[in-house]
Amino acid sequence: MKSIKFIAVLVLIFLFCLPAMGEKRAKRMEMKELTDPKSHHYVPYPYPKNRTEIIADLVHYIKRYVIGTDEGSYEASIDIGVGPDPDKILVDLLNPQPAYKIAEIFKVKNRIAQIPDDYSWIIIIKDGDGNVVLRFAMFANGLMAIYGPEIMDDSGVASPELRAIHERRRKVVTEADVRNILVESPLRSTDQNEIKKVQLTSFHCQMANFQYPIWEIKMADGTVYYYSQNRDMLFSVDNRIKWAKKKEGYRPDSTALVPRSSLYLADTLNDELVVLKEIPRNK
Amino acid sequence: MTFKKLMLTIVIPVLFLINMGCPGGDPINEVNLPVAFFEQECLEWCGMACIQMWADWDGHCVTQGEIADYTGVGNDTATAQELLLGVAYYTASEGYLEQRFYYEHGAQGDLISSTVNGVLDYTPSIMPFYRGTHAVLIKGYKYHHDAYSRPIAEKVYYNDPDPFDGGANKNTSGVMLEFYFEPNPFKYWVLLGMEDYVQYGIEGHDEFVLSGGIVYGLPGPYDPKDLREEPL
Repeated sequence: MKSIKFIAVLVLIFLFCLPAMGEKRAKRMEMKELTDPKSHHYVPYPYPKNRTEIIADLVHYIKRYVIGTDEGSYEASIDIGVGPDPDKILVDLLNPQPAYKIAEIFKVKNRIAQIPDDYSWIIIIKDGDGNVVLRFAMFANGLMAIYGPEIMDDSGVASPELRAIHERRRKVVTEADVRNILVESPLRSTDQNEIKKVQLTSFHCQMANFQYPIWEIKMADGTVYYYSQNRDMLFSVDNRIKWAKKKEGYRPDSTALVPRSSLYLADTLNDELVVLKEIPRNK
Repeated sequence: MTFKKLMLTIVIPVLFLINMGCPGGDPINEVNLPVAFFEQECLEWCGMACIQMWADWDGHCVTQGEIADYTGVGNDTATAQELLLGVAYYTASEGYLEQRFYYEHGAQGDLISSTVNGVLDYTPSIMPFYRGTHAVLIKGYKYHHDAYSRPIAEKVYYNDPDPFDGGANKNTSGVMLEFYFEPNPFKYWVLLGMEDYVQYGIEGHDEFVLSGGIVYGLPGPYDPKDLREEPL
C-alpha cells in the first residue's frame, strides 16, 4: 500500500514537471483559471468555437474590464487626430442601437511558441460607413490579447505615405483579395488553382503585430509568399536563418543575423528567421 | 522517509509555494495617463516620437527633428542611451535605464513593476518592442498585487508611434506581457522617469547587479557617464 502511495506521489511530481520538459509550445492556462468566476482570467466560453461564443467572451471582457473602471478617460489632445477612445467604442457595442458593429472575425494561425495554442482570433469593429475603427485580438482561450483604434481623422498629417497607411488600415482585406493580388503580380503567371492555402498568420512579436498578422500564401509547388496589408507589399522568402535558443536559454540578437533594413518574420516554433524579399507589383 | 513525512516536508510546501504566485481576489486598480499621441515622422524615429509624447505630457513642446539633432540620432535608430539623453533633456524627469541581460521567466517581474510604479506617479516610461528594434510609450496599467505586494499587470495602455502597426491608447493584456521579454541578452530594458522606480536600485541594489542587472542613473559606479560604453 505504502509503495503504491509513493508511486502515486512520484507520478504527481512527474506530471508537475512535464510542461518544463521540452514542450514546444507554452503551457495552456488551466481550465480552472478560465472557468472560475473569481479568477482574473475567467471567460464565459473558454476556447470559443463560433461567432456567438467569441462575441460573448468579448462582451464579458467589456463588462468586466471596461465599463465602470476608467472608460472615456482618454481625452488627450491628439494633434494628428485619431478615432474615438477604444474603450468608448467597446462600450458602445453594448447599446441597443450601437454606432459601431462587430464585423468580420478572422481565425489566425499562430507561429509564436510563447502562445499556447495554434490559433487566435481577430475581431474587426466597424463604424456606420463600413470603416474599420478597432481591431481586437483574442487568444484561442477567449482572453483579450491586444486592441487599439485606427486613425480616422488624419487631416493634420502632412505625409501622403502615412495617410495612405491609415487609409489601408481602415479597410478589411479578405482571402479573395490576397489571391487576386498574387495572381496579378508580375512575378508569376499563375491561376487560382495553384494557390493551395491563404491564411492570416501571427509571427513572434512582443506586442503590436499580434493585432496585424500577415497573410501567408502557400502554393501547390511548396512555394510560400506573404502579403502585408499595412505595407501593401507582397513578399517572397529570400532566406531562412536558424534562430535557436542557446544553451544559456536565450536566442541570439535577431537584428544582427539578418541583413540591415531587411524585413523578416520570427518563427519561434521552427526556431528560424524568415527573411523577406519584396515582389515588385503593377499597381 | 515515510509517506506522511514526504508529504509534510516536500510535496505540500512545494505545492503551497507554487500556488503563492497565482492571482487571488486582489482588487483591480487602474491608471491611464491621457498622454497626447504623435506618430513617428521617419522610419527610425519611434524613440524620438516617444520622447516627444513624454515631453508634451510634461508641458514641453518639441519636434522629433529637434530631439534627433540633440541626441545625435540623425535618421538612424536610437540606442537606449541616446533615448536616455533625450528623456533627461526634454522631459521633466532625469531618466533612468533599467536593464537585464538574461531571460527571466515571465515578464511580470521587476521591470514591469517599475513602469507600473512610474505611471502611478504620473510618469510614463519607454519600453522596447519587436526584439528591441522599436520603442513605445507606456502610459497606463490595470493591475492587481501578487502575494509579494508586487503590481501584476492585467492590461497595459501605451501609445505606439509605428505608422504600420501602432496607434494611440492601445491596450495589451497581462497575458501578452507574460512573454513580453524575448530571451535576448541585449534588448531587455525599460526607460523610467525617476530613480525611485528602479526597484532594485533602491533596495537590494547589489543583488540586482549580481544577478546580471545594470542600473544607470544612480550615484557611484553606476553613473551613466561611466557606463556609456556598455553594449546594449
